Amino acid sequence: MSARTRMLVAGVIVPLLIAAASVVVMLVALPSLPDPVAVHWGPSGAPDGFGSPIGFLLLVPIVVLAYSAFAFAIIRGSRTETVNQRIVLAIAPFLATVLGGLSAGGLLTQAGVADARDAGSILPVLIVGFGGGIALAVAVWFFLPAPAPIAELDPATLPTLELASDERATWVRRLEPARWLGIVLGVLAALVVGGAAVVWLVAPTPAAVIYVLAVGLVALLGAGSLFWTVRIDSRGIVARSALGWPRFTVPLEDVAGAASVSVDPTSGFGGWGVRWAGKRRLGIILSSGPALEVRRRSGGALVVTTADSERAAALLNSLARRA
Amino acid sequence: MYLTVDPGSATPLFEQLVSGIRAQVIDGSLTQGERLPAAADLADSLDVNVHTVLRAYQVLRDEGFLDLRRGRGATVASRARDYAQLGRDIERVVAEAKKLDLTPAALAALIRKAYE
Repeated sequence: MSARTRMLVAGVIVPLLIAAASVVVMLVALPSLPDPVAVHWGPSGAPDGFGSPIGFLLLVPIVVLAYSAFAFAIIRGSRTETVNQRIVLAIAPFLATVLGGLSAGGLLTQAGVADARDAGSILPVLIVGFGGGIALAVAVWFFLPAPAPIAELDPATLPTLELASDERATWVRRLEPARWLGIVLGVLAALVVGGAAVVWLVAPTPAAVIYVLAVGLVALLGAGSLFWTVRIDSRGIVARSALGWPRFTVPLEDVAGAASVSVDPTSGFGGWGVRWAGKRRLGIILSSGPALEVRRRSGGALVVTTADSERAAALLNSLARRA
Repeated sequence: MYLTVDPGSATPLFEQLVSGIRAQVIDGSLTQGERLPAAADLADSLDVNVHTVLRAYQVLRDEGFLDLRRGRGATVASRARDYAQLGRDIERVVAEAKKLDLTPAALAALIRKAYE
């Protein structure tokens, strides 16, 4: 089975089949259900909300279809297997199993019961639904194609520059996200801060505190993954986040070669920020276009989107060759 | 920013740093307001004394290329200066000097003389 077929099966076909099966089960059970049916359950597992089963019948196909379309677009749009993509695809069958299983299971516990209030507990359905979903996601994770080993760089095409035998050289650059990305993130941040204000006003204090902490953490991680300093010198290359962590290095002894490459964030790395694509190929992806790709002797690569990548690659190659 | 220093050269290290950074401000590869590496980091990378880097930064501040502020480190001066024309002129002068087999030192001496 080809890599692409595996992705389609795991991320699109299986979830759609699960959703279809749950809709069939619900339709079959429909005549034997009480009216109204239980649609909400309390913390003890006993039903506490009642209504029409139509919500379940619509929810499952709509959500699973929408997610499948998203997964399909991800498969179509990418050229390499990225970790990001693997996560998105493994979530698809999980989502279908949990939604379809809980909806169909929740209705099945009421089949043949005259009054929905007498229906059994939802807890077994919850356990089976989530357990099954997690098991399936794990199975799919391993069924999905492992990242392919990255192709070798052609040593003849690697750039170099003139460096006297005892000349010392350094290349330093601060990296920032592309301007449009900054604008998008700024708007998102404004919305989230607005949300925080609303949550603060209306929600109970613990919820507000959790929300604000979560927002703060996401903002911190975002800033940490979008602002970097990259430095090349006689010790190799260091990419350090503006927060000081994370920090990625390739010591000069480990530099097999460096090249200037062109990066398309969505199709090549599955997005922006710190990304893995291919086997042990880590990307710090802040913009589309030129990037420095450093191959390790120990396997894998570090890719950093930056201007002046040709000179950076040339310096690393020359330093590595001289060492 | 790309910088090289050659300890074997007769030119003092701080002067090599000064001319390297100045050239990049003039050719536009360092842009207005851009932050330069912390002196300690740069000294570390080039294996020179941190005072050598600080001296180079101070010279460049005195020449109006850099702003030095406590806490913010060195930034490319925001004083509006457009070096594009000068960059093009220098290219032309250098090309002409090469045509006439003038050494860089000879050309530099001529330019210095023109200043006097």
